[in-house]
Amino acid sequence: MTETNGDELHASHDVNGHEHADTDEEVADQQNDSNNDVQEEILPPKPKLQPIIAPDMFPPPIVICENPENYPESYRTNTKKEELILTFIENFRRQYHYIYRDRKPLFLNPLNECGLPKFVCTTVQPTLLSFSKLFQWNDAAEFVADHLNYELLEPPHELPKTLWSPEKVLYDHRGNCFDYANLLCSFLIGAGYDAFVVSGYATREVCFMDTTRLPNPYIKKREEKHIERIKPPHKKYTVKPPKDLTSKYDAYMHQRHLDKIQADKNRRQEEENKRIAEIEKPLPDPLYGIRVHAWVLVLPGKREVPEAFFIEPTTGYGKATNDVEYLGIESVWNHQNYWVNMQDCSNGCESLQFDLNDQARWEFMFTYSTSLRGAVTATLNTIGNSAILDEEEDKGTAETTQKDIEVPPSWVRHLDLTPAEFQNRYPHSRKTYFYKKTRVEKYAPYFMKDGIVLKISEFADYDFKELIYVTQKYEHRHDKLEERGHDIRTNTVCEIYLPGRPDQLKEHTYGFGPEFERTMIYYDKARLDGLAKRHETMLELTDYFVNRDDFLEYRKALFEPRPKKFGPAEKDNQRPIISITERYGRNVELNANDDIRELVFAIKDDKFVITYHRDDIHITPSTRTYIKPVNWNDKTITIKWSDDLLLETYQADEDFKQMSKRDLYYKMLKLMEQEEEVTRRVQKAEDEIRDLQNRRQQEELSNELEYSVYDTERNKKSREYRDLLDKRDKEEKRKREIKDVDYLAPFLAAIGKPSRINAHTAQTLRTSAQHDFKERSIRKANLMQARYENEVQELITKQQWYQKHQIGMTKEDELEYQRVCQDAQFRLHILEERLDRHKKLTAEKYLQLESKLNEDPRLKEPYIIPEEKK
Amino acid sequence: MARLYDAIEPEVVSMDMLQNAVESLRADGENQVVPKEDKLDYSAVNSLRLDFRSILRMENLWLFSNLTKLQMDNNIIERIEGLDTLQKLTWLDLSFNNITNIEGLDTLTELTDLSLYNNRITNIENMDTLKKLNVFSIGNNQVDDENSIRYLRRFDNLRTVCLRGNPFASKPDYYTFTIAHLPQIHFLDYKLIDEAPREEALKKYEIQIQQLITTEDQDREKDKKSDDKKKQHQLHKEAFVENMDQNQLFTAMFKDDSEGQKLLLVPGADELVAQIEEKFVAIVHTMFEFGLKEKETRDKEIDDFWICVNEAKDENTRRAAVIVDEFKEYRTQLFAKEDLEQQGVSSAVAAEYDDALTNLRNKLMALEIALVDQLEETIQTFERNLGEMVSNFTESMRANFGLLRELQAFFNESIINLCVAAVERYMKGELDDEFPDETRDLFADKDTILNACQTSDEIHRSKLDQREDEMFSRISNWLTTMVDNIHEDEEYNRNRKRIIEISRLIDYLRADIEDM
Repeated sequence: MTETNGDELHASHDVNGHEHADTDEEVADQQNDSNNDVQEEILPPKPKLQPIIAPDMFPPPIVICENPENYPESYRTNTKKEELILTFIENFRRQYHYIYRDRKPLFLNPLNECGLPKFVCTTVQPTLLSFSKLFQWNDAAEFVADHLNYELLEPPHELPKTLWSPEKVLYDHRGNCFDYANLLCSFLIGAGYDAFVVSGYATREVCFMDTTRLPNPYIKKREEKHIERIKPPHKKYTVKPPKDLTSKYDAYMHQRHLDKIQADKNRRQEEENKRIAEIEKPLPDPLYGIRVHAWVLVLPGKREVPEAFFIEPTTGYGKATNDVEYLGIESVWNHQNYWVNMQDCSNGCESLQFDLNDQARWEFMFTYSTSLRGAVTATLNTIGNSAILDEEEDKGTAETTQKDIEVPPSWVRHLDLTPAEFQNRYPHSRKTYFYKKTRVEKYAPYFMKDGIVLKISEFADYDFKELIYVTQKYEHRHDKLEERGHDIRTNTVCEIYLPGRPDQLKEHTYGFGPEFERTMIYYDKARLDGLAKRHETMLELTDYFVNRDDFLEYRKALFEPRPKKFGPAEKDNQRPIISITERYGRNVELNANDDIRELVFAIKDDKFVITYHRDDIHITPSTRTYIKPVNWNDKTITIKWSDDLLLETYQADEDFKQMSKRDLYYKMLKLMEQEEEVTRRVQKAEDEIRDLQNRRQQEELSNELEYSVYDTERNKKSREYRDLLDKRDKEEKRKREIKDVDYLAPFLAAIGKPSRINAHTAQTLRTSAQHDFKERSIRKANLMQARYENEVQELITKQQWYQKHQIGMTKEDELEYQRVCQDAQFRLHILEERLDRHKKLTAEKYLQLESKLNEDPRLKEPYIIPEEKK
Repeated sequence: MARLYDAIEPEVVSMDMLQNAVESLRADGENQVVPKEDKLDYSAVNSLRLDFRSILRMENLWLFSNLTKLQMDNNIIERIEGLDTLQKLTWLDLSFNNITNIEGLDTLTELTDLSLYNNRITNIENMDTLKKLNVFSIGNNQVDDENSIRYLRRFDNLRTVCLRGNPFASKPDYYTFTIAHLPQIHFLDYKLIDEAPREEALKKYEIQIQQLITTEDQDREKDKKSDDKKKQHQLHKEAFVENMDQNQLFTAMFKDDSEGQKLLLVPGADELVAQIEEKFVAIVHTMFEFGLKEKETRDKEIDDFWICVNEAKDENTRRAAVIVDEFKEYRTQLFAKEDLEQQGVSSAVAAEYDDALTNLRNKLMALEIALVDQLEETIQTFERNLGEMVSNFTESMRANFGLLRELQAFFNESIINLCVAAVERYMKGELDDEFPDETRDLFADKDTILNACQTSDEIHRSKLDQREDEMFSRISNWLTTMVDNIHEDEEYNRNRKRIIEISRLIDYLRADIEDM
C-alpha cells in the first residue's frame, strides 16, 4: 500500500465524509416535512471480490508516517530491552518455523508508524479512560466500533506488515482489524478484563465488516403480552359445571379443519423461510479459510466473566467461541505474553480450548507468564492503572530475571481522550451502518441542529430501495421529543416525548390524509385533570382519565359529520355534537344503585340517559331517562316539574328507594348544568388538540437544543458563572498569598538572594531577624509613649489656661472646654490601652517568630533557599 | 337563665311541627315548581331545625334515621333523650335549654359537633362513646370540677372546647390547667392556643400530668386485657369448650357439694384429690384442645364453602349481566333503525323483538336454574360434611366424658374406702382431735358416711352430665341454625329475588312494544 493507495482506500470507505453536505440538506428537508426524508441514496459499499495477487509480484508497501520527528522517542527508537526482545523473538520465530514448517508466519514484530519493528505485546497499552461508559466490555467495544473507520487488509490473506500504536489509531479514526483489536484490547485490559488480541482467520463477511446480512440490532421489541389465566385450584365446594351438551363430533371435525389450515400455513411459512435463506446465503468465497482477521478474546475469571467469548472489534458484538464465522486461530497475545495455538482448526474454532496454561495446546513465548498471569491481572481488576501495573511487573521480573527475559513496558504513550472527543464518538461525528434491510445512521449529540442522534431506516428489500419504517431518536431537544417513528406504508407518525412538557404529552400518534385519526397519551400523574389518553377520529373524540376523585373513566363525544360545503375556511368551527357519554368507575362509598356508571347527554335528542352501577347480586343495572323540558334554553322561565320529564325508570330491585319528585327535579336541573359544563369541556379538548398541532409545528421550526447546567462547554450561562467562580477563587488565592509575607525576604535580599547558605549565615540571618523584630517593637512602643506624653502635656496646658480664665467665661466657652477635656481624656485612655496591649503582644509575637525561625526549612540542613515563584 | 315555666306552655313535638320544620328548610318558591309530596319521607331528611319553640321533651324523632344535623336550641328541654335511633347524627345543638345531666348520647358515635351551651350541667360525663367529637361547647354551665376537664382527655379528635361562663373558668389557674391537661385541643373558648403558654403550662403541671398519663396507661392496659379475655372466652364459647382450659370444671364439681367438702377432711383425701385433679384436668385439657382444633377445621370448611358459593354466584351473575347487556345493545340498534323512519315500531320489528325477549327470558331462566341445581348440590355436600364433623366432635367428647365419669367413680370408691377406714379408726378413738365438731357427727357411724359419699358422688355426676348436655345441645343447635339459614337465604330467597328481577326486566322491556 503506497501513500496514495492508502488515501484512496480511506476515501472509498469514508462514505460519510462525502455525504456530509447532502445530509445537511436532507435534515433541512426533514424539518419541513417528515414525509420527504424517504428518498436518500446512502447505500452500503458493495464488497468487491479481491483478486488474488501473488505476494512477490507487488511487495506490500509499508506505510510510514510523514514526519516521524513529531513522535516521541519511544516511537522512533528501540531501547536495549526492546532490541533484546526482538532478538529473542527472532530466535523464537526461527525455531518455530523449523519445527512447524507448514505453519503460516506469526504476527510478531510488525513495523510501527515510524517504520520500526515493535513486538506486538508492547503495542498493547492497558489504559482505563476516565469515562464510566468504557468500563463495561460491550460499551467499550461499541465505542471502538463507532470511533473508527474500517480499512481492509491488503491483500486479505496476508498479515499486515504494520501495526500502528493504539494512540495513532484513536486519533486518526481509522484502522484495520489488527488496529481495532489492539485498541479494544488496551481498553479492556485497562478495565480489568482478561483480554487478548487474536490473530486468525474469518469469513469474508467478518473481514469485510459486511453486516448487511445481520438482523438489525435496534429492532423494536414488539412485546406480546401473554397473560395466562391461572385456573384457580379446584376447591372442595366448587360447583359442578353445567352439563356440556355440544356435539363432540362437531368439535372434532372443527379441530381437524383447523389443524389442516395450520399445517398449510406451516408449510407455506417453511417455504418462505427457505426462500429467504436462499436469498440471504452469501456468495461462495474463493479465499474461504485464508482471510486473515484479528479480534479479541476475553477469558473468564476477571470481572465476573463466566466463560470465554470473542468480541468482534469491527462491530462491537460479543460472539461465542464456537461462532462459525471464525475459522481458525494462529496466535493470541496480551501485554505480557504471546501464545501460539497448537490445536487443530480444521473445524473452525468450535473445539478449541482456551486454557492458556495448557502447554500441549498453547505454545507460550515467555515461561514466567504461566505462573504470573493470574497475579498481575488481578490488580487490574480494581484500578487498571498502568502505574500500578508497572510496579507489579517490576515485582514479577525481580523474581524471574534470572530465568528469562521479560517483556519491556509498552512503547506506546498513554491513551487519552478529551470529553469532547469522547462525545463526538464517530469519525466526523457521524457514522452509517448497514444491516439486513436496515440502515442505521448515528450522530454525536449536539452535532445535528435538530438533536437527532440515531436514525434507523427499515426497508422491505435487500437493496435499500423500498422504505418501510423510519425511527429517529433525539436528544437534548427543547420540546422533549425523544423518538419519532414514521410508518411509511400507513403514513402514520408516532412521537414519544420525555416528561417535562408543559402539556405533559407522552406519546402522539397521528396520520396524514383525509381520514385523520390521532392518539395522544399523556403523563397522567402530572396532569391535574388526570387525562391519560385522548383519541380523536373524524366523528369521535374520547378522553380517557385515570385516578380521578370523581371516578370519571372516559368521556366520549360523537360529532355530526361536517357538511362538505363549508370548505376549509370554516374548519375552526366547532363540530356539532350529537351526544356525549361519560363513564364512571365504581365509588365504593355509595350504594351501587345510587352510583352512576354511565351518563349519556344526548344533546341532539334532548335526553339524558343515566345508567347506574350493577350490584353484585343483580343482573341488571338501574336506568333512568330524562327528557329536557321544552323551554330549557330560556333562562327567564323557571322550569316546572311535570311527570312527562321523566321518561322511564327501571329499578333492578323493587326494594330500591324511589326518588321523590323533588329530588328528581333537582337532579334534572343539575344534569342540565352538567351538560353545559361537559359541552364546554369537549370544546376545550378540541381546542387543545388544535393548539397542540400548532405548537408542534412551531417547535419543529424552532428546534432549539437544551444544554444542561452542568455542561459548561455548551451552556453559556453556566460557563459564565463558572468563569466567575474561577476568577473569584483565583483572587482569593492571590490575596491569601499576599498576606503570607516572607519575614526572611529582606535579609536574604540583603545578602544577594543566595540559593544556598551555610550554617553560619543561617545563624546570622536568625539573629538579625530577631534583632530587627525587637527594634521594631521598641520603636513602636516609643512612638506610642511619645504620643501619650504629648497628649498629657496638652491637657495640662489646657487646664492651666482654664484656671486662669475661669472667671468671666461664657457658658458656651465652658461647655466647649469640658468637651475638649473629655476628648483628650478619651484619647489618653485609648493610647494607654494600646500601649498596654502592645507590651503584652510583643512577648507573644517574639515567641512566635522564634518558633517560626526554628522550624523554617531554609535555616536548617541543607540550607537550600527555594526559588521564589512569581 | 331561669325560665318561668308557668308563663310558657310547653310544646309537644307533633307531626305538624316536624312537617313544617322539614318544609321550611326548602328553598323559597320551590313548592310552586315541584308538586308537594303526599307523605313526608322521614328517612330522606338530613337536617332538622326545631329551635325557639319551648319544647320540653325530646320525642318523636326516631323516624329520622338519616338525620345528620339536629338543632334544638332555645327550648326548655330538661333531659337529653330519644336520640338513640339517630345514629348518623354528626351535629347536635342543645344550647340554651335546661339540661342538668349529660346522658342519652351513647349511640351517637358519629357525633363531631356538640353544643350544650347555657344549660345547667355540673359534670362532664357519659360521653365515652363519642370518639369522633371535634367541637364541644359547654360554656355557661355549672361545671366546677377538675375531673370534668380531665374527662375530656379521652377525646383524641377534640380540637375546640368552650368552657367559659362556668364556675371553674373563673378560677385563676383555669387557663393554664386546661391547656396543660388537654394537649389535643387547638382552640379554647374560640381562641387559638399559642405554643409558648402551652409549654409553660405543661411545665407547671408536669408531675400531675405524668401521673395522669401513667394511670391512663394502666387503665388502658387493663381494658385491653379484659377485652382480650372476653374475646378469648368468646372464641372458646364458639368452640363449645368454654371454661375448660383450666380446672374450672373440677372446682365446679365441689363447689355446690357441702357434704363432699366435709368428706375431704378425711385423712389421706388431700393426696387423693390432688392426684385425681391432675388426671381430671389433663383429660379436660385434651378436650379443650380438641375442641379448638375442631373449631378451626369447621371454620375452614365454612370458609371454603362460602368462597365457592360466592364464586359460583358471581360467575353466574356476571354471565347473566353480559346477556342482558348484549340484549340492550341489540335493542338500541333495532329501535335506532325504526326511529329514522318516524313511524313508530313496525309490526315486523315488534314481532322480532318479542321473539328476542322470549329468548332472553329463557336464557336467563336457564342460567338461574343451572345455578339453583349447582347450589343445591353443593349445599347438600356441605351439610353432610359438617354434620359428620359435628358427630365426630360429639362422639369424641362423649368418650372423654366417659373417662371423666370413670375417674369420678374411682374417686368415689377411694373416698369411701378412706372414709370407712376413718370411721373404724374413729370408733377405736384414734382420731378424736383431728376433726372439727360438726364433721365428727358424720363419722359417727358407717351408714351416714356412706350416704354422704353417695350424695357427693351424685352431685359430681350431675355436674358432668350437665356440662355434657349443654355442649351437645349447643353444637347441634348451632348446626341446624346455620344449615337452615343457608337453605333459606341461598336457596329460597336468592332464587326468588332473581326470578322477580328477571320478570321485572322482561316487563320493562316488553313495555317498548306494548304501546302499540
